[in-house]
Amino acid sequence: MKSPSSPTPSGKRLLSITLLAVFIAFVVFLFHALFTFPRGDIFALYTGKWVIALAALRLLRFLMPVLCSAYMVALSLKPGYIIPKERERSIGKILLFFIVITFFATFFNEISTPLLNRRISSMRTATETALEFKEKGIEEYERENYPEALTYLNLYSSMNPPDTSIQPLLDTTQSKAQRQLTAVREEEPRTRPDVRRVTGMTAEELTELAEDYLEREDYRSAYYYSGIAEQLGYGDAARIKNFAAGKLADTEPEKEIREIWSLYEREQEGRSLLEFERYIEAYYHFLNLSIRYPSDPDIQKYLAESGERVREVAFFYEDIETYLLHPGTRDLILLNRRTGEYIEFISIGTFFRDTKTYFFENVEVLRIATSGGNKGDVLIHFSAPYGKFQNGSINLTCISRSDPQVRFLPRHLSDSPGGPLDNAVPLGVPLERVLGFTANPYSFEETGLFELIDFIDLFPAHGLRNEPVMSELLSRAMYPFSFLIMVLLFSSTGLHWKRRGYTVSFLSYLIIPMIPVVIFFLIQGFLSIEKSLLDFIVLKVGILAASFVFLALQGILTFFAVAVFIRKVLKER
Amino acid sequence: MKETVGTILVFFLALTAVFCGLLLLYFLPLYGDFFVPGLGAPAVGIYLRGYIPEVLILTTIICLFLLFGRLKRKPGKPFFSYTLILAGSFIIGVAALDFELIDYAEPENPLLSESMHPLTGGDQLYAHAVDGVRIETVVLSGRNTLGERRFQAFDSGEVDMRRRVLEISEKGITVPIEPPNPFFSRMFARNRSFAWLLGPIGSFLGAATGDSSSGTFTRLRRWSGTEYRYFLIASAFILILTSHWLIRRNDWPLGNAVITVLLFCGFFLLFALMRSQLLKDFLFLVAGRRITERIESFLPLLGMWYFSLVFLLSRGKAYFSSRRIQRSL
Repeated sequence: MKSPSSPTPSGKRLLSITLLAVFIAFVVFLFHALFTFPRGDIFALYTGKWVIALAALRLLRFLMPVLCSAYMVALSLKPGYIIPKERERSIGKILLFFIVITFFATFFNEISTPLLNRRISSMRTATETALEFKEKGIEEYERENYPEALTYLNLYSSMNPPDTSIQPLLDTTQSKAQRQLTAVREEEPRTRPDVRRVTGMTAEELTELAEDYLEREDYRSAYYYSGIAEQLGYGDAARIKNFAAGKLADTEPEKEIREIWSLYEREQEGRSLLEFERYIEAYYHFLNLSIRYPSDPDIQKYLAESGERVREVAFFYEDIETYLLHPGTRDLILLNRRTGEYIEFISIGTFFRDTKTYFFENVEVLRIATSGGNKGDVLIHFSAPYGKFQNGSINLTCISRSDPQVRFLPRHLSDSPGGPLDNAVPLGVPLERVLGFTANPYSFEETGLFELIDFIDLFPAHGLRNEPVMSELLSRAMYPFSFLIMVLLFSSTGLHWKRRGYTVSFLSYLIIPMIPVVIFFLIQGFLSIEKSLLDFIVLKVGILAASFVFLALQGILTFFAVAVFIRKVLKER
Repeated sequence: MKETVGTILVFFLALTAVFCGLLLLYFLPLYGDFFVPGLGAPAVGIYLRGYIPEVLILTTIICLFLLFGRLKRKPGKPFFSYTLILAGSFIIGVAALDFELIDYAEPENPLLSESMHPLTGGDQLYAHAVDGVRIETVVLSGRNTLGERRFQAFDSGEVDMRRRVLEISEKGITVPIEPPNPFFSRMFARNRSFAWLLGPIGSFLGAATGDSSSGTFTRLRRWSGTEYRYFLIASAFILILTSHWLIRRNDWPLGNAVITVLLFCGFFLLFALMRSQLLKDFLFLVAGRRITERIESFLPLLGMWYFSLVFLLSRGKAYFSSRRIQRSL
């Protein structure tokens, strides 16, 4: 059992001071975040999340000055509370405590800061996006494009449900949109794909194909292809058609034949589309047939097959629709590829990601010649409303799952010379690193450590400099050293300027809240000087030399800080 | 007495040397050699000559503030105090100089070949081939909102750093190059945490030393001969010399140290306040009419003198009351 006079371990007392300081700081930052909540920029919906995230972020940012101030004030006002009479024994414990605190501070800073920054920026982007939807919805309403207006207003409403002021406009738009859509459907003529154009074969080729089927005793196919060839005006096709028709009449009753034949004919149209890799048309063709003949196993089979094939060349708008409600990451600009002949730029308006699915909104591609006679000319310049990452490329063909009229395809921009448009554009950067290529690529607030390491090689390959990346890496490596050095130096300062006598007036305590502010600026100054020195070496000599200087500098400064602290503790009376 | 004068002198010289050294370390290799190839030794003289008055004034203020408002000094054990004072001065000095001088980092053409240059406001500029101020193949990406076009390609452009623009004559477009050095300015961006203090420090130094286009001696002669600057510096000295009664007010040295730092900042902030529109508006409200420009220009000085007088009187009162106590004892 402890005797009443036995000292409480220094580590425990330091821990209680640490926890108290962190708690007070967090409460202060909570209130500050609450009172400075930007109501115009962020929806009230996010108030709670925003305030907590911002308070946590600020706590991490100001943890060094907060803890330095706490230890300094504690050691200055009551040194005996932390340093017992057996000073030699307590030094090791205090140093160990400071090292452990440094480890935790670094760990949380490195892990949580990018995450919290992303969270805060996503709330801001979500608000911006929703307000843009609202604005766009009102614009479309004024232009009397009610279905589009309804889409945008619905998106806004689902992103900001507490805003009930939009409801009357939403109701009006909904009824007007329904009326407009009904009117349009009545006007639209029903079209059927022209098989002759679909197959893309000449009459001779079709006749040869029909002969093949005839030899294999597939009279339905022979009849079908020879019929098309006949329509194209190839004489020999009529003979094959009549022969095949005769054979068919021998085996099946006339009325049933007509029914089966009609279905077969349409199946064949779809199969031709599949065969000639026109998967999107094939998909819609079988979709129509499946509505008319829902129990036909062949149609279901071909619908599934065409659906699978469609996913290779396109993606469904219905899949991306739900993502549009999320903020995503905005404004990515990338020098995508450099070949001997051209350079290619990609800009992505918004990037949405899930665990396995990645979508893009407002994709633009520009390709410029870098060699030959047309050097400097625009080779192609196009944009696409939506894209999906598939097999290392951005697929730019977006279609509706149920409505053939709804298609979002790439289109040439005004300065493009024309020509065939790319269905997909290979992405020159690993997908998980594309987020680094924002409009402000040298801002690393949302960048994790491993991403930074990858950027050392990726940035120069895509037209950016990697010196800022190296500088940022050194800054992050500097944090734990600086934390420990500052804690030790300010603790020593506290001991050096400890209270004399017992006459510290109450008014003097009012200065305490100012201490973290002063210390913050001193630490900032120290860090910016160190950073400037290392940046200079990175630029002039390179990362290796800068790393050596960095290690030497941190070693000397840490040694100096530890020596000063030990000296101060040992001299403490 | 001899010892104090010697200490001040040592501090003065040490700090001046530190600042001058920093000038060399901080600006010439980074913003001289690296940014403007070929700019070498002659630049050393130009920079130092241009900034010695600022360095001297800042050093003097720091020395006086910290030494006259001494916190706790024991004969023979000054190392720790000196280290702290030096560290503090070092930080403030570098930050102040950084704030003042970074605008000099302007090469003829800051754009680099085959590189993307992020501009203020989220735009990016790609320069394919750089030849002097001329650039072959320029791609500009503008901000988009819901489907607007972003990229614009041009055959060539010419950089004009006097106007900080890239001129694309074929389309009659000028693209502002902001920040002026898109890559390096970001890397060596000013520490925004100091802006609230460095602005007033820069403002004070600017008012005290005048325009920086002429040489050191001309400028020294000029400001010593100008009443305004003379009185401004004098008021600063009086404030510093008389404020240590406040600095040594209580028995808690850490508290005193914090008051010292706050006073140091407060001095410049007070000067900035005297120059601000806020004070002019307040006077307009009180007087009911606009004061003349000449009086307006003297407002900061009058304000500083007012506070100097208050401090001087407080100091005198403290001095005499302590004498009375001593006599009564």
